[in-house]
Amino acid sequence: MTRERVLNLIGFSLLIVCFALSVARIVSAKWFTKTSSGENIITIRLAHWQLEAGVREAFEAIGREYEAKHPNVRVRSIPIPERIYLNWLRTQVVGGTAPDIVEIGQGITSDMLARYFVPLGDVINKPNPHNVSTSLADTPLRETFFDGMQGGFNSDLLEYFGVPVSIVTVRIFYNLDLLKKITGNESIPATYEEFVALCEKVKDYSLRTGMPIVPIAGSKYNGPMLMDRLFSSQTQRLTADFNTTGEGGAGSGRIIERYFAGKWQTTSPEIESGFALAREVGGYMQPGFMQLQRDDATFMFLQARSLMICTGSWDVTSIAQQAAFPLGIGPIPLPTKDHPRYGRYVKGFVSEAGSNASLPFGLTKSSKHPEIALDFLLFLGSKAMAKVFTDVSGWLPAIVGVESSPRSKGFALETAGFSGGFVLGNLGPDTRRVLDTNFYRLIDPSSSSKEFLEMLNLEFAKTFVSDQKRATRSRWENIIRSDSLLGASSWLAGGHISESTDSPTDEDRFLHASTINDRAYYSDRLVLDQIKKAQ
Amino acid sequence: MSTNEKLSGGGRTGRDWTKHIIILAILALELLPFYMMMQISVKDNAGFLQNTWLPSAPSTWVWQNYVFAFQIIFPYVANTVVVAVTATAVGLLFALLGSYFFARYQMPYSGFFWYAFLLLMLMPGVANIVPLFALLKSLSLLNTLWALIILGIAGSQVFAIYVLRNFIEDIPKDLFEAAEIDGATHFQQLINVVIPLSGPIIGTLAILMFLGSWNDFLMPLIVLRDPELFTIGVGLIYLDGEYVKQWGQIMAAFFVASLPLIIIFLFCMKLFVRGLSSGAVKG
Amino acid sequence: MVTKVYGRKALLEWKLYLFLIPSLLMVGVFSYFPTVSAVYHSFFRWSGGDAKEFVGFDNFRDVLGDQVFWSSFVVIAILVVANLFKMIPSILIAVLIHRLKSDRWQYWYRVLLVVPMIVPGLVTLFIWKFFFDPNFGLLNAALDTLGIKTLLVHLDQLCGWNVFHAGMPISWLGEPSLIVPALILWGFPWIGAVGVLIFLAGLQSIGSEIYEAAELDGVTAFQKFLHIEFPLLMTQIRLNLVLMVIGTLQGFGLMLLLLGDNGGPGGRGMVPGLWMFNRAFTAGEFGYACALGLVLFVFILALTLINNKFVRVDK
Repeated sequence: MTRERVLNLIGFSLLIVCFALSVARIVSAKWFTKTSSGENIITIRLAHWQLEAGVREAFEAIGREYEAKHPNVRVRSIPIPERIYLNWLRTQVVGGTAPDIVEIGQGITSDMLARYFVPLGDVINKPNPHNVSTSLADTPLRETFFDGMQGGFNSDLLEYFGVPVSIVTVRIFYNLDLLKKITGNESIPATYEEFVALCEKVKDYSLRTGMPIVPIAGSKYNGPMLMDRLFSSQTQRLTADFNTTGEGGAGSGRIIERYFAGKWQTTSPEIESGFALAREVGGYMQPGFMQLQRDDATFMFLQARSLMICTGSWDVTSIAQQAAFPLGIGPIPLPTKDHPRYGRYVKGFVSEAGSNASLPFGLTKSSKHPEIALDFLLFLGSKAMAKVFTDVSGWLPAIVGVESSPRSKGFALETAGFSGGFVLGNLGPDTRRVLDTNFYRLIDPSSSSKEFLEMLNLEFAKTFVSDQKRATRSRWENIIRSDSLLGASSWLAGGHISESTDSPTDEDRFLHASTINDRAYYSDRLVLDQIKKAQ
Repeated sequence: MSTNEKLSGGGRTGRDWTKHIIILAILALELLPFYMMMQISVKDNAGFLQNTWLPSAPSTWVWQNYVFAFQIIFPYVANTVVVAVTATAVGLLFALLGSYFFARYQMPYSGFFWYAFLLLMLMPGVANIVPLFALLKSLSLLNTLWALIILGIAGSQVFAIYVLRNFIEDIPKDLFEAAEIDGATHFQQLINVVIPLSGPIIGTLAILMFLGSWNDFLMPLIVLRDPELFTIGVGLIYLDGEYVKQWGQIMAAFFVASLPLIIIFLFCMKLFVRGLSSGAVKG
Repeated sequence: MVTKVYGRKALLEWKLYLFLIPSLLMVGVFSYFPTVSAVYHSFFRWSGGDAKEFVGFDNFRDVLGDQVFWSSFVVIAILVVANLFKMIPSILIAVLIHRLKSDRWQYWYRVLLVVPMIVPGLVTLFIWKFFFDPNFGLLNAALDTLGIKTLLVHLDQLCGWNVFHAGMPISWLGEPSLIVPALILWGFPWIGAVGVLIFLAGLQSIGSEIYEAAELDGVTAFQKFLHIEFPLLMTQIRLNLVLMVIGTLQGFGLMLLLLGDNGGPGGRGMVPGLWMFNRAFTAGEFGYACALGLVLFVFILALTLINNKFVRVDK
């Protein structure tokens, strides 16, 4: 046999051996489906996108706790990268192979929830069976959460779908070593004025020592996080004026309607001031930061090339683990009322009381063992497991009365204050798109002229209308989907518009709406009517 | 080939040095990713930042990267081996059978079938993904490795049959007839006549099909749910989705993901190179 | 050649049809049926499950008005042209290797050519993604060391691109205007091992007498290429061209992995295939995605037919 043939043969046989081993591996994995006592092993799967340090481990730990109590159950958690989460989930729910418990978010629509998830129903009104030996033994599930389980509520479908597991807040992270070097102490700014002073000191320091240090690391992800909050401090008074229901804030429909009523434009002083503020803070970030990704800013901060970074409590463990310096946590520095330039539009400190809990986990309809999955879900939302979660991950727990891990100190909710102002990006997807495309020009000092803002005004006028139309249509679809039964029964009960009106107007329908969604729908249509009138 | 036959063209005189230099330069650039992968895989992030281009000293090599890589990638490699080998073996078998049908005799309607196959070659796969997914769902094949194997087989048929048909047609008819006279059935003819002669081309096709399965990531991404079943394609995508990347570990993982291919290549190098260049794949 | 068979002989050889069945079955079920199903479903509003709503030509009407879809064709057109140019290095290197005198070297170069193939395509893709990384990436490091970065910054200030800044890493995949250049740059130096080997195979058929005659006529190296090698490579080039165009037009895997399902910042990296994927698997509009796929298919088919008619090779 030629040398070549021998080699080929060896290669080939190696391949066969690998193949045999691999097949054996797969087959043997399938064999272990029975416990030692002969019961069938049931596998519960949990999917999420939290790849940050600590969280995966927390879910694994909770899984192990559950397995210890229920020997015939195996809990598997499946972490999926954020970027493909929605794609992956969609294929899974459509294909009927979705894991039993899935984290809700990353663009999951109400549509998907209605179709593929199980509403929690009455479970929320009863105490959590897993809280039995705790102080929450008699509290209805809904009230064991910080936010009354709002984070798991879907307002389109008027149902609870998710059990939230954490609360996230946004803060500024500080490199304490560097801070000491630059200012001589470790005091963290609380207001915008102090923040600016610190940034200037950093710039001086950088010039003096020749080291390229940026005051605050920015990116496409971290930049807007800070800028949006600063922007909202400028629209605070304005939003409070729009508010008619006494809730403190204003819905996007109301804000859009006020726009067409002429109460504000892109050229209004508040908005201009907001952009100016965003621009000013952007100037303290590295040039071209809008092109960079989240990791790039984090990297910069970790390399001590920036003093600060604005991100959320979800990054605390990852950053703490990798940082070679001690971390300081500070609040978002907002301008006070006394600020010479920005103070006039500010009402006061922004409260985080309205924050919803995050990381809601829902039960999918494709679950093969819904009762056990639901039981695990309740276990996940129990007081004891909240403690495990916060201890292992360092994130804030969502359950009342649970002591949070020392690592998350500084992220606790600040509840005193006023509600924040509106942010342009939250008014609708089309508006957001226009904002995103033009953002770099907005924050570039050299190109923000009066004409530019005028142009934006016209663009926004168009996108406000399309966004409002879209919101109205989607609300209509939700009505059809979930309210039809309710609407039909209330219609039958006589709560409908009397036949004497020949052509009921939207206002009539609004006043006689039989369900909450109906009312919201006709309210949206009234906004559209206003827009038409104003144009 | 006689020993006197020159493979190369070009003039007798001539400046070969320039050619060598250009080729070597281009090849070096082409091999750059490979080189980078190797030398980064034994560094950690700090070491990499300090010394980006050149390999670090062997004493500083971070072997943990490979430990990590093996732990993560090995299951994926195992799964991919199963899928790739099965898909290649069965696919080749089907393709051999099919191409024999076309090449041996021109049976009635074979023209029709042949054009059906050819049309498929033109059809872009892009429109198929969605209904394919629905089809797999109704066959309850979602989240299984079988789905990937079957898709691998189906996908490779057209090209393989095209190539094999050309090849079998070139085999002298007398060999077939001789076998037939000896009382061989078609199947035996296939085994005794076609296969021995088509060694190189089967080898080449096998390698191409294997590579195809190995590199596939789209269908596994859509079809697989359980991490235990992931193939390399999906596994690497997940690795890329991590927030904090330890490049050394990732490069080591890449290397481990290429390992089986490297091994096969080392052994079957000549086969592959010869198979492609012997004009087996005609235009 | 293949002997035609009919009548009684055909009946005798009926078993041969059995040979075709496995292949046909596979292809029929998993390639033909999905295509038919795609055509069928493109007339429905379908989210992948059992529920669907017949909407007739609505989907197609939406496709016609779909801005994102049609602008993605612009991107793909650019990429096709770029890929055309990217075929040149393969041809160049094939010719160069072919012209070497030493057979041994030829063989070793062939081997070296095949080496990059053993790194799975996906790995190469991710390594390139790593090259593009603003902080760690080698592309930026190379540009810095070679001084090209400073050049780019100067050009930027001259032309007002506002893309390259001194002291700031270039974000190839993060800056909208750089996305298409990054996609074109990908894979430098653009040699496809399979392609080169096929070209080499084609070149082997050239006898050495032709070269001798050319030498005697005092022809330059480049003219040798134009008149001798190029015409003979035409069949391979033509085949490669067709495959390349079809492949590029459908391709979206590269963009999906490098940029995500939205085509990256500003959606500049959106190509038709990716938009189809997005509509189906991100937005859940499967019926619409089928309609998109169908339109794309018709487009590709048309291009292929045109290609066949006009790009003829005279022997």
